[in-house]
Amino acid sequence: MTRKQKRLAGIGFIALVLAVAVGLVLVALRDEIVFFYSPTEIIQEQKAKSGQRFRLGGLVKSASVKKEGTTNSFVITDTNSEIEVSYTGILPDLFREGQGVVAEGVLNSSSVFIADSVLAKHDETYMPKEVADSLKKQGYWQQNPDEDSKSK
Amino acid sequence: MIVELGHYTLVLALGLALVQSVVPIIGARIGHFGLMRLANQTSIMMALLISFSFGALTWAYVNSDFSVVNVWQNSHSLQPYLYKYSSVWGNHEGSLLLWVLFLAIFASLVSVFGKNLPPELKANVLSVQAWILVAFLLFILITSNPFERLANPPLEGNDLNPILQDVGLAIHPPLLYFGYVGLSVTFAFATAALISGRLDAAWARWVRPWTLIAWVFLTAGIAMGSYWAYYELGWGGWWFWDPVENASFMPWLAATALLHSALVMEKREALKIWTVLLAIVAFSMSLLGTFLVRSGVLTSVHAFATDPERGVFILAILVLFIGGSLALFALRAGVLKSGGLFAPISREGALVFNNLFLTSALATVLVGTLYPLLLEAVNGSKISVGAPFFNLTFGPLMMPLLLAVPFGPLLAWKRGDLLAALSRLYLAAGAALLAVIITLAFTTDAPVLAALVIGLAFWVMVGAFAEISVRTDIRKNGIAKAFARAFGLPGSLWGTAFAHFGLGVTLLGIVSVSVFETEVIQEMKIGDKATISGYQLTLKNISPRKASNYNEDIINFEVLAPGGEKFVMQPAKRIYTTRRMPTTESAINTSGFSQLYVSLGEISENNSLTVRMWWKPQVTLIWLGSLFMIFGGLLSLADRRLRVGAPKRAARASKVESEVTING
Amino acid sequence: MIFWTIAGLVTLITIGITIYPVFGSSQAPGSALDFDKEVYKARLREIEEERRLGTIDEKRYEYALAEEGRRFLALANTSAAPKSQLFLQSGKPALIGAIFAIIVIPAVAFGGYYQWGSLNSPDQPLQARLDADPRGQSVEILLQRAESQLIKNPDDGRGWLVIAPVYMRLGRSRDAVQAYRNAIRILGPTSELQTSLGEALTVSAGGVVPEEANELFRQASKANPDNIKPLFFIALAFNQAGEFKKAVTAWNDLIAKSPDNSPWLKIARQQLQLAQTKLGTRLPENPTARDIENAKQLSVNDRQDFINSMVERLAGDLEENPLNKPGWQRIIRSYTVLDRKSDALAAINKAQQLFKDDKEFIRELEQNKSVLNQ
Repeated sequence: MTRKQKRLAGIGFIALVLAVAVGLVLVALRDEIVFFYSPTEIIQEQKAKSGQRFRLGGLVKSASVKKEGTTNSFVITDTNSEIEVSYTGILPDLFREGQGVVAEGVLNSSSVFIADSVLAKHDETYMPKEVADSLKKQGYWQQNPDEDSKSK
Repeated sequence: MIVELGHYTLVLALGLALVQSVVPIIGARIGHFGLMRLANQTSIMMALLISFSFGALTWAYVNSDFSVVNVWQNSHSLQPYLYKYSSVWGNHEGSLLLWVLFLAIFASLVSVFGKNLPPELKANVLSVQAWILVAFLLFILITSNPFERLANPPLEGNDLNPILQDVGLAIHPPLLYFGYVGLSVTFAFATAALISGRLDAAWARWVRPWTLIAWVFLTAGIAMGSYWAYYELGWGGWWFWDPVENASFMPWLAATALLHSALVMEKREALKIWTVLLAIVAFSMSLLGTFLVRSGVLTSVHAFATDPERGVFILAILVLFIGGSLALFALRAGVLKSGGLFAPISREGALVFNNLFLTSALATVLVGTLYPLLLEAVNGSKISVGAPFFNLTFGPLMMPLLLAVPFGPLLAWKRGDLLAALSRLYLAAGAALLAVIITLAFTTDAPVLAALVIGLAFWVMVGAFAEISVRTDIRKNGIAKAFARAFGLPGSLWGTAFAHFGLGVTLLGIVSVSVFETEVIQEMKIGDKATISGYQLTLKNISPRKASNYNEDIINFEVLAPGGEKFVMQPAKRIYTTRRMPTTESAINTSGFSQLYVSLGEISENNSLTVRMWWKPQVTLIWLGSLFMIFGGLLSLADRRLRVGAPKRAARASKVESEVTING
Repeated sequence: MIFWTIAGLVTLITIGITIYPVFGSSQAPGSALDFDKEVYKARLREIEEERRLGTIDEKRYEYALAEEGRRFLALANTSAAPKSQLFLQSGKPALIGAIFAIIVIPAVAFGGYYQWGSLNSPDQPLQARLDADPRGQSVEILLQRAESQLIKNPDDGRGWLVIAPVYMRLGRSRDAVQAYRNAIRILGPTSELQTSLGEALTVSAGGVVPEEANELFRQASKANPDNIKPLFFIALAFNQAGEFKKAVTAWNDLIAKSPDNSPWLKIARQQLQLAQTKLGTRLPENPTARDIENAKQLSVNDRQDFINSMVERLAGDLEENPLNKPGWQRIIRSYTVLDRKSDALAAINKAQQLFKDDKEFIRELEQNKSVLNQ
């Protein structure tokens, strides 16, 4: 190979690797990302197909948490619509009725959300951002009055 | 008064940084040695001033001076002493002060160890460091001042977030920050080179050790953070591809690429422009990480407080430095001469291969981290990009790289021989093949891909020492001579071997735990038994205990190992009294490289609780591997070959440290 | 003053350190090329050392030497003309640089500190505050000191006894409960202590007598029949539990035993009245002279009006300052007792919205609601 050919081969190889990387990213962005929905978006706007993975966020409805063996069931609400969630495993320490929560999983045929992970806020003043945003949209979220003093 | 003096010295440091950011660089421009030399003293003075400031804040924390708002918000008088110290950086303001402290320390290290640097380069580097200092000092003083005071201090503080009250997290941020900020040195070198349009020979020799220091600390910080998440969060996972984790991982990838490209530049004067660009990218990733974590764009445990003013300010810093340096690069890169031709199959070629894959991988992580933010900004839809995305993009890009790792050091500079290199890797190939066969033979349900990756891990581990075996050549030289030779080999060679070995070890741990892990979830009452991977756990009793700032219920498990020995595991449920916040302390038992992991759900009224148990085979290899990498980095750093003397006329002071060691 | 002495000194030192090298004389180091030379010397030494160790063969050694030589020559010839010579004489630039430093450093330091600093704020480490002279200190400080004493020595029963009423006065009824419990644990139960604990429990339950407190009052009353206070709470508990028949007996008993000017008599009579209305009974057939006297003073309607006006005032307060938890508890209780069911439910709903993070309170409200809905 001449020097020029070698150079071209080198550039060709680099281009190939970059093309593969771009291809992988595009495929992954199409197939492997998980959307975040509120109960209203699922029930009224039918945004998720059954069997599709998504994240469901909202507040844990008061007095909706039940435990049967290792399976927990509770209702996530955005004060407008609600969805029943079933989760086998350990709920986070800060999982509380009336508090914000995000669950990831799929909706089954009887409209129960089968979650394989449940995230609650990390500390007392933290509300998962997605949940706060979607509640704001519903107009039901107000700033915690003593939060101002904390963040100052 | 101590607190106020600390505040004063911080402001004074800002004044000094302003002087240092202007005067030396002008001195370098007009060739005035006196003005350039000023930076030597000011950078050391600045480190002293900010150290005092940091010390004053620490004093306030240790003595529970709740008249300082920051102390009142983030500590408690009954905290154990360790956490009184770690509370200093367990919050937004204090952690930024630590960031700036490290920045000043690095600048002073350049000043102290930089006697062999051409004065213009040194002056420019220290000025650029001072720009960063000015930006962050302003950020702290204007938006995140840790020295704000209260006229009527309360008698008790709000305590540190309980999940941050942990030894692992006490030392994780300093390690990580030291790594983040270490990359500012290479950034300053790159910017200085672009400003002066000159890449001195000393440049390449300097960039590598500084990158190495940053890399060692980044590795340690990330490994520590990963282990902390593993045992403290109670999910049994060790890496979540969480944006905050990615924020620390991206600088690491860039620094790893930089380490390798700086090698080419030092030895062969090739890849100059690329190396300069990488140095800029690496520190940009540090800044981006700081931005993502501190601005509140992401909400997580790391985003201590969200405040739009801060976000905008730090975004401005980000744009200024990343945009500015990239613009400078675009304008000035042409001035730097590129050099050194090489064949594709050569050491240089291998290192380019490494850089190509590492930067592509870095780009995929960057896309995965920023895409959700972008998408939300564009059309408001919220998505999360998690492990599946990165497994599909990052994973495949790593495989060819790992396959190539053993080849690199065996190829000669300029023109290498792939077959000759392969013939020296027969041992590694044999080990890999054996590992694949054994995996397939002794496990029933392991996927073939897992067996292949295990083979790859052994290939990397054994192949890492191929160069040493070639250089010592035990068959030709005999044991004694080979041993003597091995001892005489340069530290960086051993460093490479250990770091690559560590990579293989980590990979082995990752595959093993992802494929062979078992998990049992069970509802248990006192007296109940559970079985996992041959271990039998009996829930004996629940004993309450009171500590200074929390109460806990310890759940005592008696465990019968498959070998017949008995031991106790004690996971616990804690309530931190001040914040009324519950946490779960999982229990871990290590045997060999594997771990038995027990986590708990809430204790219900009839004293039954959900117990989640994992058997994690070879999980510790993940962090053991990073220890090897750190050790390799330190060996390489200790390589005295990296030391260079200063020209004789000015070398009186540095003579002892630099000249003598090299000659002797 | 000490502050400014030290701050000024530090500023002076900083300025001195900054401008000294600008003027100070020392030999200028070599040109950039000299520094490059040093790097190549170091590289040559490396190559020599590798040969000495035998890690590179003769051929590679020669090759490496040639390479280094070539590189150095290339650099020496074409190097982007390094600044020929660095000059050292102080000159005008030095003066300008020094003046810049002398102006900028103190200007930023004083100006910035004036802007951001809190001059005259002394350090206030916790221990020093606790050790300071007790005279003229706030109750909180004294309390904190007593508390730290008790943490060190938790078996000091008298200590708990002293601190408990202070807690009650400060509205920290839960701490008071803890303190009384400790006092009972150490000093043994007395009628007075049990009463106080019961009272603290009742206050921390928002005025509703919990089962545990009720039991304590009974024990206290049994231990010392002359102690009137427990009788009051026992009667109140009957009222709250809806056992109005027993309540009427209990209130009458209490009123009979109380001295004439007892401060609780007024409430006791109101509560008695309430229990009687609930029970649907008229006044007892043989009212005592005192009862008649009182009834003359206030007709039933007047009394009702009086209570209503108090409730309205409370409602108004809550309108203005809604984040008042005890206020909501009180008004909900009042509405319930006054049998204003719809008002009570509305108040409960409002409180639930306001305090949705307070799980305990929400549960209490739910209970109230279910009681109302029965």
